[in-house]
Order: sequence, then structure tokens, then C-alpha cells
Amino acid sequence: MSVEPDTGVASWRALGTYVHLRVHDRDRLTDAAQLAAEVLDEVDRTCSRFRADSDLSRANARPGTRVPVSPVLVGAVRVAIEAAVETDGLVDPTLGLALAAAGYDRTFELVAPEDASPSALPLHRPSWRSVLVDDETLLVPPGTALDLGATGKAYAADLVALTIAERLGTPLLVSVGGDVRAVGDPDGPGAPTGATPGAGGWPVVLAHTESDLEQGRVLGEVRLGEGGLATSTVSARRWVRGGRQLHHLLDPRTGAPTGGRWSTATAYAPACVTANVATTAALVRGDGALAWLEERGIAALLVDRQGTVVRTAAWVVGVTEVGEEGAR
Amino acid sequence: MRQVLSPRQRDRSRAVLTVLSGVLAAAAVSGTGAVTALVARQTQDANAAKAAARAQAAAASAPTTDSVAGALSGAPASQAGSVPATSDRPAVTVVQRPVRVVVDPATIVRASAKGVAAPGGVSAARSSGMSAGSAQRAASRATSYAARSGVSGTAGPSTTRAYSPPARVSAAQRPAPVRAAAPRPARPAPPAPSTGS
Repeated sequence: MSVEPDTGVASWRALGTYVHLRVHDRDRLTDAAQLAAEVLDEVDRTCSRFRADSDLSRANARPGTRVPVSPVLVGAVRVAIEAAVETDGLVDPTLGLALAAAGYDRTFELVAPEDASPSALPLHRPSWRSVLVDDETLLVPPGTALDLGATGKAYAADLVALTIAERLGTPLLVSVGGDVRAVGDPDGPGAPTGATPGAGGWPVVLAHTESDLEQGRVLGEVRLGEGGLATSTVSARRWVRGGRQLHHLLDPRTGAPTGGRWSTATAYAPACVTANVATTAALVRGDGALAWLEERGIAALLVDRQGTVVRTAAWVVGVTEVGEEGAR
Repeated sequence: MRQVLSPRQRDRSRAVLTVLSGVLAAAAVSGTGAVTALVARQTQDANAAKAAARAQAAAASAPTTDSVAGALSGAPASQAGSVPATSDRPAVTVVQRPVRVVVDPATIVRASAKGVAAPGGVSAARSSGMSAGSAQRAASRATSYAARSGVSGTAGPSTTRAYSPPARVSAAQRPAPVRAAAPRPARPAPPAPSTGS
């Protein structure tokens, strides 16, 4: 873990991705980073599909049975089901077996980038409506397995931000693999609130992938106020099975990797998980994504496979991109 | 041509030969079986010896694992469960992982566009505009979680074991963070990354 009190930024890796934490009160940075790491460890311990000892793995291993699970997993599953409701099932938590069949059956760092053996994508599985969750138990329907990858990191970012804000009382921003949640203003509680992202605000740089970012290929930079910002892409977590290019974002309607018009989507919303649901649904929906986002007034920026950038009306009005402040 | 044996003698000879063949065959079978069983037993013994050797090797390396587990969990190595090896059972070392519960069960995260993310349980949820139903659910969840903390066997008949959350760690119980003593000249923070991942 890298902790830099002079910038108020800590960074490390967790949940198979990068974590970037910035706090306003720099004296609280070490405490905040430790608390964030503990929250992420708790999420990993309960919600990971790749740990045999996680609550999720235990529930997946006993389909058709109510399995007692952690409140953290209960919350994650409720969020995932709510995402499915909001998107008519385009963001679906029951793709665990399909992802495993495609070769994504372990933490991504361990997935072979290329394997000659073909994948066997299952076509039929029970509906996400068959998932049962109450305050204490989770039932995974037979014939499926839950995967919370679509909403899990965003949920974790929200949990980290809310927990730090509650315990330490400092404005902060956290990015968990690009799923960002900000609470308060970077200039402190006395500063003008960034409810409308604009002057001030937390600077956030956008890129298709972490690799692109490292090589300086960025899509732009925005100023984020209170709320969540999420980016989803089909350019990351890619591998080859049987000569076929696959990636982690499956279309629940086909069980195959989504192959629509859009390559990357970024959205801004009150919570990170809300933004993430919008971006995931946009990529899966493909051609109809722009209209779907506009109907819901979601601030989003979409990049198609040719690199053309399209912004929704809410993004144009509500989000300031660095370099355009003077034009406002 | 003069026959050496009369038909009766020939039949008797056949009978004797048949009996002898049967006895020989049975002896051969049983002998083969005995040899096979002997070889199998020897193989089994050899396998058991190998397993015991592996178990001893694993047991020999177990203390290191235990001490790491103990150090991480703050418990002495002797508390990390260890099952001694026997000839038919490999060594099993239960490694205690550090476990902390830090997320407040009442923390609410919502996925819907109109959703609310409110820290701090019911009162904070109300002040932040959360619906009464959501606040009530948060309250009941917090209550039920608190009520069953450390209690097992309260789940329904189809469950295998009740969830027993690890002990909640208060801020006072957490190890004191190591504070960096470096001077802090004002330096702009780099922008946070938002990428697909």
C-alpha cells in the first residue's frame, strides 16, 4: 500500500484491481486507508466468486438451499437484484456458470490468456427472479451460480466511502477499479458543495482501461461532486478460448460476450453502484443504449468501437470536463 | 488295433484327469489370487508408507504456517487448529485468517436511479431522505444482525450452519496505524482514475 500524506492519496490493489483513495483531511489518510482496506477485505471474504471460503461460494455450492450469509453479501445481492429489476435483466447476477464455462472461473490474473479448448457457453439458466435473499440467508436457484462482478466493485466503493465518512468524518473519494464514489467536497466541509460537478470538485481521469491510462491514452478528465462515477468497458478482462475472443461482460440474453456498438461507457449518478448499473446496461443494450439513458436522464459518456464519443444531455449539462471550464 | 484301455478304464482316467485339472485350475486361480492380493497389499503398504512420509513432511512444515497464521490473527500458534497425521490420514492444518468486521450492517446502498446511499443506520437514513420502509428494513436488519451475533442454529431447517459473524472490531481495538512523519508540503493530488476493469 502506498500512502502519501502530502497529497492525501493512498493506493493499493484489492478485489483483483486497483484502489485509489483520496481524503480531504490528510491527517486521517492512514486511518482511512486502513479502514478502506478492511472494508474491501470484508467484501472479498463474503462476495468473491473465486474464494472457496467466501459466503457467496458457500451459497453457490448449495443451490436450492437457504444458506446463512453475511449482511454484506445480503446487501450485495439485493443491489444486484435491484440492478436486474432496473434494467429488465440486462444486468444479471446469475451469470456465474456462464462466465466459468467461458473460462473465467478464477481470479482474472490466473485466467489463461489463450486456450485452444473451446468454451461451452450455456444457453439456458434459471431467471434472476428465482434468487431468494432475506436479511440472513441466500438461496441460489439450482442450475445457476451468482456472480456479482457487474455490481460488486461499485458496491464496494460505496461501502468504503460511506464507512469512512461515517467513522472519520472526512470528505473523500475512492476508486475501486474505476468505480468511483465521492462524499463531500475535496476542499472541505466549508467549501461550496459539488452537488453539481463544476468548479472545484474531485478530479477524475477517464480511460478505457488501466493499461491505457498507464500509457497516457485518456478519454478526458472531469470534476466530480458528491456521488458516484463508473466506467465499464469491453476492452478489459479479455481472453481467447478455442480461437474465440471473449470478455467478462456477458449479454444475459445470449450468454455470450456482448458485442454491441459501444466499447466503453462512463456514467455519473447519486451512488457508484447506480452509475455502474447504467454503464453495464448501456454496453449490453448496444444500439438502444443512448435512448435508454436519455429516457432516464442519466449523465453518461459513451465511446463506440471506432472511438467516437457521444454524451447524453444530462452529461453535457451536469458534468464539467477539464478544459471546458472556461467555456461555461 | 488293440486298445490299451478299456472304455471303463478310459472313463475313469478322464474323470481323474478332470478332477486333477479342476484342482490344478482352482489352485492356479487361488494362487494367482493370493499373489494378486499379496501384491495389492504390498502396494497398499507402500502407498501408506508414502502417505505417511508425505504427512510427516507436511506436519514438519506446519509450524511455520501456524506461526504465520497466529501472527496474523493475533493468536498464539497453538490456537491455530492442527490435526496430527496418521498412516491413513494426511496432516490437516487449519490456518486462521485475520478476520475483521468493519461494515455497519445498517449501511444502505441502493442501485436504482432514485436510490439513496446513507451511512449510519436509521437516523442518518431518515435525515438523508430515505423512505420509511427502507429505514425500517435497515433497522430490522441491524437488530436481527445484532441479535444473532454469536448465536448459532437459528436458521431454517434447510440450512447447514448459522452465520456467525466474527467479533466486530472497534476503533479502539484496531492496531494503531503507523503514521508517516514526513513533512507535508502542499502538493496537488493526482486525479483519481476511472477505467473499465
